[in-house]
Amino acid sequence: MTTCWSNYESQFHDELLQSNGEPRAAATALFQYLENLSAEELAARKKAADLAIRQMGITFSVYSENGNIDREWPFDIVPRIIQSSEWHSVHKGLEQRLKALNLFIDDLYHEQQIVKDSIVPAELFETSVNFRKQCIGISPPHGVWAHICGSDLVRDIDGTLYVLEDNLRVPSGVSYMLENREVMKRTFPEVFRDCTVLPVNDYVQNLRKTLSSLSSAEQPVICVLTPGVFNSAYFEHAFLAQQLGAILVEGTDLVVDELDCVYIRNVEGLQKVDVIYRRVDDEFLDPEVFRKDSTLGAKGLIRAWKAGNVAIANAPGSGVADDKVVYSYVPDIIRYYLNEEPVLANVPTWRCDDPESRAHVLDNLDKLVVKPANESGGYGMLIGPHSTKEEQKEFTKLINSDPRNYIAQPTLGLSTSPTLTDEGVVPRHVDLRPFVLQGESISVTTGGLTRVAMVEGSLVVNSSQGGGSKDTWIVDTTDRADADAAN
Amino acid sequence: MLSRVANHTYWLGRYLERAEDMARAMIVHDHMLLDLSDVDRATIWYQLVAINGNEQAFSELFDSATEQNVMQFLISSADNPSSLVNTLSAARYNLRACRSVIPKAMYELVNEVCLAAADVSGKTLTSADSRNFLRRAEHSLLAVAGAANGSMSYNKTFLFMRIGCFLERADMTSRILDVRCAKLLGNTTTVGLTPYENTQWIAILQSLQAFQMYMSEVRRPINGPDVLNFVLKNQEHPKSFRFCVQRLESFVQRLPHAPALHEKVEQLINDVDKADVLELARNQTELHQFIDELQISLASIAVDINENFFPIQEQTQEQTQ
Repeated sequence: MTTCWSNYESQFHDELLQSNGEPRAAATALFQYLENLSAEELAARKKAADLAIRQMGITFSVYSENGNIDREWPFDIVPRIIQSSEWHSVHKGLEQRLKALNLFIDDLYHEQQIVKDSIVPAELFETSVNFRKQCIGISPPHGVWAHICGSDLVRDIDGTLYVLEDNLRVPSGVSYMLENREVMKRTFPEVFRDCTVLPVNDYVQNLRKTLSSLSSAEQPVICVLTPGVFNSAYFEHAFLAQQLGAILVEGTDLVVDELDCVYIRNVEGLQKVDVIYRRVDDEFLDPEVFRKDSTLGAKGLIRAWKAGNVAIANAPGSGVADDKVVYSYVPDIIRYYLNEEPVLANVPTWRCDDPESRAHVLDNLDKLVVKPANESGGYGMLIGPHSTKEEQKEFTKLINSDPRNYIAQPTLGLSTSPTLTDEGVVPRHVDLRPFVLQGESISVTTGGLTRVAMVEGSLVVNSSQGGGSKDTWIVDTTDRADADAAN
Repeated sequence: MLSRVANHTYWLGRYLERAEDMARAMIVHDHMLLDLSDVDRATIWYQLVAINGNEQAFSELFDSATEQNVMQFLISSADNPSSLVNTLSAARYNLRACRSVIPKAMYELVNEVCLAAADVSGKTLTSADSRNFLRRAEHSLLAVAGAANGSMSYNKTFLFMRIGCFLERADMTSRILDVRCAKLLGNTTTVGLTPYENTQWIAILQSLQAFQMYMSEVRRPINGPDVLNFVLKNQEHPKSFRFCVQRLESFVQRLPHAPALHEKVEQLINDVDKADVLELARNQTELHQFIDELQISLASIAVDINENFFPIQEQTQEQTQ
């Protein structure tokens, strides 16, 4: 019988298989299970998973010329597996990173000691489009600005995990991480018995705890602020509100009174709000302070926040650290504030505003990945080895006209993970987005959202651009080894 | 509870009830015709169009009220605003907007039936396809009601959904009576009818899932005045008009103070209680007029609910009846 693995071969580091084709320790049980499934059975499971996603209404919306289209969330049934011992150190590294970033943001909006000590240049924030002058001098609870962070991790060809970027504005994806597990349980209930997969569902409780810690109320009223039903992540907003027991609100549901308190418009009248988990960008939060034409926020929100009458997560202004130039300084930032060596590696990064680096970047456009400092969703990038001469020329122009806004990194040989396609199980490139929470205390998701580039050879994992996703298993192999040793 | 969300749950309740009631009316009608060989088939299907309340749209789309035409109009037509696919699409729109307050199990069931409807939208269905679809829809919608009852707190979300549901149901009960009774009245005997009349009175009860309960409670052969009395005035059957309005009254009492609205609902209960069923059963014009008044009262109650509890910007076009 030809199994789904018969012709499987990856040119890169593979998440499930070793280079000799044998499964990695944490993937052994899954490998054996899948080996015993025929291609037909596998296809049937895939169909069942797709149906579950449709019924559960797990969607994301894509902006198009003809309005927004609701699409079913793309999901691959072969999970991505990480051994718990490795995860343990990633976990530590992510906590360290967010702690340092929050100290950095708080410093920027207060003394700016890090600039005075010449660790980072003043231009760094002076020229940042996400630095908000309106936030200078504000002290949010626990000194924490970015309460929810989604960091993207990738693994290079030699197996090293790198942090690719930190998303500190309104990172999305965690609902898909949770729902992927639900779909997986519905589709492959029996496989969980043999693999010691650590649960992921403590995230919601941790999120509730984090948000609650921003208010002194014992049972704070928490709202999730969404741009509305047409937003690409509306599913996630509704999902999180439902899971958190929070109230899903739109800007028009909120009202700020002359005493700077925030209320929602209820059937019974007004109800006071303690914490707002906003999924609306800074610029749209408050027409009184930011964009005057915004209808997505509420007039007076920033006033109320400054007065300490409402907590906003993430705090306005925290996006200043969500900048690919700031990213390049994170190892220094960690050393400076925590006096520790970074646990997780940064991808080597050239800053184009440095003349020497810029010259290097422009000479090597065909080999490097060039990214704008403030885009998200994978837009506006140049992937050197996959680019045409024209595209490289265009980027030369872009970089020269606005060097501060561009960085470049070597093209990584992103790791692959077995993925079911029409041609059977084949290697596809993956990344990983774990979510880190910080309020009074700090926590990390068990694993995260694995995104997969469904097209052969492609490195683009964004769902808005045809990427898919996988359930991510943190598998504990220690018990098994102990048991084996005992026998 | 947010006013905006209350509005969506209210409409979710209305659309789900409308879909369930229409599906059942069609199923019962179809079955009834199997027993009526000598009926005038050119007009009998038109009754369903009348219950649906969209005679105008129908005449613009079709020349004749054949089974095929009526079923298509009521199930899959994209051009009939009250077709099942459009009703369920409106339900889904509201479901999406109030998703965060709806229990997961209920969400999935509603989503499922709405997706099934979207699959047949605009299609021409065979009789077998139609029957299958209607059965599935009826079952799913019953399951939705079960999921709502079993997993929602009896809070304001639930309250507004139920208000929508019972307003719609009262309206549907009155329409079924109005249309179905038209040809049956005049015979006020309580001792025996022709099989033909029998079948049609039974169909009224079945459309309202009330046949069994009627039989066990009335304990007399099927007859016009008793059916009319049961459907209008029974205080225990969930599809009777009186019961629906009674529920509305208890819901309205739990809402923030709205005296005018409360008064209107009480007045409506009074009107039903005062009605002389024997007299109405004798005179079709009078019954029609009476039901008209009931429907006007319901509409006025709906306006009051809108004005009292829902934000103004939410009166979108999709939400018109």
